Amino acid sequence: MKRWGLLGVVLLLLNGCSHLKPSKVKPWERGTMAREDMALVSNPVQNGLDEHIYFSKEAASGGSGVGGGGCGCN
Amino acid sequence: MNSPCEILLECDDEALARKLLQQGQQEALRIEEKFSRFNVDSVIGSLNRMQGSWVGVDTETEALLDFSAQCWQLSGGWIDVTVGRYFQLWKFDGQTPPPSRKQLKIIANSVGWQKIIQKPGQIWIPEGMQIDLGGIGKEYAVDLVANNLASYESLGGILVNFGGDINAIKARSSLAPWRISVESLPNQKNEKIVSIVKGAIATSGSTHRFVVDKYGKRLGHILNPTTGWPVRKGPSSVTVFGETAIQAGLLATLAMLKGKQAETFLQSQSVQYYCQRGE
Amino acid sequence: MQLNRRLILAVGSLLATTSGVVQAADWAVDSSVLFYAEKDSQHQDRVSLAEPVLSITKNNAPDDYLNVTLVYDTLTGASPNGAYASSRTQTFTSPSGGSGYTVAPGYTPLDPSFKDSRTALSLSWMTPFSRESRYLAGLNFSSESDYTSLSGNYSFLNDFNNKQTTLTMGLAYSYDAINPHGGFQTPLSSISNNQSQSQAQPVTTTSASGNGAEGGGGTSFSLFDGKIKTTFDAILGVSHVLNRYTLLSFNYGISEVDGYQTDPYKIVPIYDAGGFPVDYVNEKRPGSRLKQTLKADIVTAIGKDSLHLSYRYFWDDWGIQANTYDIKYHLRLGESFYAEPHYRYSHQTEANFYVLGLSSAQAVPSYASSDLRLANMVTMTAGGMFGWKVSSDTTFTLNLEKMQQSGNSSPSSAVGDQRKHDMFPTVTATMVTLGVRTLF
Repeated sequence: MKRWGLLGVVLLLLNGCSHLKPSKVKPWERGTMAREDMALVSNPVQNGLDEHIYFSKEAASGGSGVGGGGCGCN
Repeated sequence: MNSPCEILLECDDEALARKLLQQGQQEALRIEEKFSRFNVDSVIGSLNRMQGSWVGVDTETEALLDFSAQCWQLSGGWIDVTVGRYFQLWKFDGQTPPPSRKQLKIIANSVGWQKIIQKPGQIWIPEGMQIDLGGIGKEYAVDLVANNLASYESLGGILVNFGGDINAIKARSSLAPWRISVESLPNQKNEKIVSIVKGAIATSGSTHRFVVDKYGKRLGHILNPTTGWPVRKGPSSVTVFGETAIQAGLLATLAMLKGKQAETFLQSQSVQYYCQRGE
Repeated sequence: MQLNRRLILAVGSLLATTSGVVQAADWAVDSSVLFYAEKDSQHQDRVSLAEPVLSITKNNAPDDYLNVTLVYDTLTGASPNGAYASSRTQTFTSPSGGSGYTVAPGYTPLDPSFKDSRTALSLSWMTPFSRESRYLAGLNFSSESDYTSLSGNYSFLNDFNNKQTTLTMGLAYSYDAINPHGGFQTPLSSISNNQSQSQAQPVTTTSASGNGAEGGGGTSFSLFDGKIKTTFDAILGVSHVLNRYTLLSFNYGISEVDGYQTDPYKIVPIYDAGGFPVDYVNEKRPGSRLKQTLKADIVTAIGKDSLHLSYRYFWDDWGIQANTYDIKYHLRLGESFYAEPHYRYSHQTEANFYVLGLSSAQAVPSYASSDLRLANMVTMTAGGMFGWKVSSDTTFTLNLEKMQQSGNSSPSSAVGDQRKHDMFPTVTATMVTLGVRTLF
């Protein structure tokens, strides 16, 4: 419950600054979106290493896309 | 670009500013080299040599050709990148006489976007036709360079000006307007200064390029794509304010093509403009 | 619509297609090395890993690139064999081929001979079909001394709404071959019956002789026909630029795994009425597994910083459900530095065939595993990355993270001696990654 609470607070804060309000975004307004840190996966190599560890240590995996190779670690 | 170009940036980091200015210049040169019809090695140069066969085009070229097709459609054929051949008959130096109607009629067969066939990644141009992206190339370079600069968050104001086509994509940090001088007619003394905080400006028309017809009347250099003849009773120059240089430039060109109706047309598009009429 | 409005839209899609052409560097080379080490709450050192990665990307245009990634890892150390801590000394013959080992009272048994290296090569490329559509394809190959995997994937991406919305449809297929050191053992039969290494077939056995090792291939072993595991994945995703600052993404994924999924090195203890282990049997898992995931991501810019939030719900037909939350904040420190604190929380429920052990009094079930990775547990990861942009072409990164896995140390099913010991020692892993990214 606590976790959901925290998530709720974050979302409310974002909503307050209109970060969750839909609007048309023209291509020349996408300067922010073009930033490297704004990519869904901003560091693919680190992300790959992390996902590999989670895959080998947990029962759940996947969710972000297809791809990546198999491993005998789990 | 055959005209003076400038990029104005507000930036604390001199090294970054230098890098970005250089990058902007390279980008402008890249676009000119890639799309100039005067450069035989350019994409357009090679397209114009490959008439009568399917030619593969890259994503950027395809996007520009698709855009040209949209403009042609939206403007009811008035904006047409295939009018190139007409220009071979005209020399806007104020001395060479205009071509004959018969000469123009022959050329008219190799003009008209509707004669082009497109499929994904490929284009087919009929024999004799010439494509010229000159009408949007410069404005495209302005907007692309401005867009790329706008992705650098640390920059303050940004203004890109390639030969009078301007995109002030970001306001100055002080919000003080950019002051821009619009070229005036030779017989007018006062320089026209416009102020914009943010936005694009483009001008079509020129007081330097004209021909004199057999009645001694000056004809402008804007050609009607169906007849190949300069538009009459048009303004000598039109300046349009818009969101992007491409949009402003095309509206200015269309206004010039509307001749007498230039102002009426611009009013109907709810844009700010500035028309200059000589004589 | 006014001509002017239409023109604005047309310019919009033109610039959306071509913007960024100048920014894409031709070549990007990422080299990283990860160091990973585990320790448990009983002060036993577990596995440690060193993993260098080299990733090379050739960018032709924003949606047109080719990437080659080479990963090599070496894993050494002690890994839990599935048995639990007892007041008595426990002795095991090693299924992974080494000599046997003895575990002192009070300690969770770890197989000390764990050692492997893995080489993985993957190739992926994105190619545009048109201004609004493209595909992403990939091929992966990895090889370990006891495991080989070959897989391919293909995704189709299509933009809508002036490129504000992107739809992704992807498929992947993986063909894996398992070849355990010491051969395959008979599932759910005592490890004292396991064939010693000299009698086991060499590592390069074919699937047919693999069957032989299982002791004659009766009907109860029909699931073990061969040592192949195939995985078929499909994903449907949508990402949407909500406004100038926020990107949303939703994915649904489904994955069907068929074939050999038992861990050949894990055992299940058989205990007496006092909770003392009296024997150990080889574990056995079902031959098919259907996994599904729902994932939501939000990336939003907060000034020059950005916040990444993600939630994943996972469920499968083994009875496992997992909720995973991930939060990352990209904090810009001037033009050259950034810090990226990261926290991840994941809770999973246990598989329906997970057992602490099997009572000698009960009938042997169809499937049983005591692998703690299939138990009810919480994984927490906290740490962060520090980045230093030395120049516009070179960035150094240092990623430091701690991961902790904890479960139920005294489950209600525990009996007798089992109640005296920690049935799930908490494991803490330290991860350090050094990386450098260079653009040419």
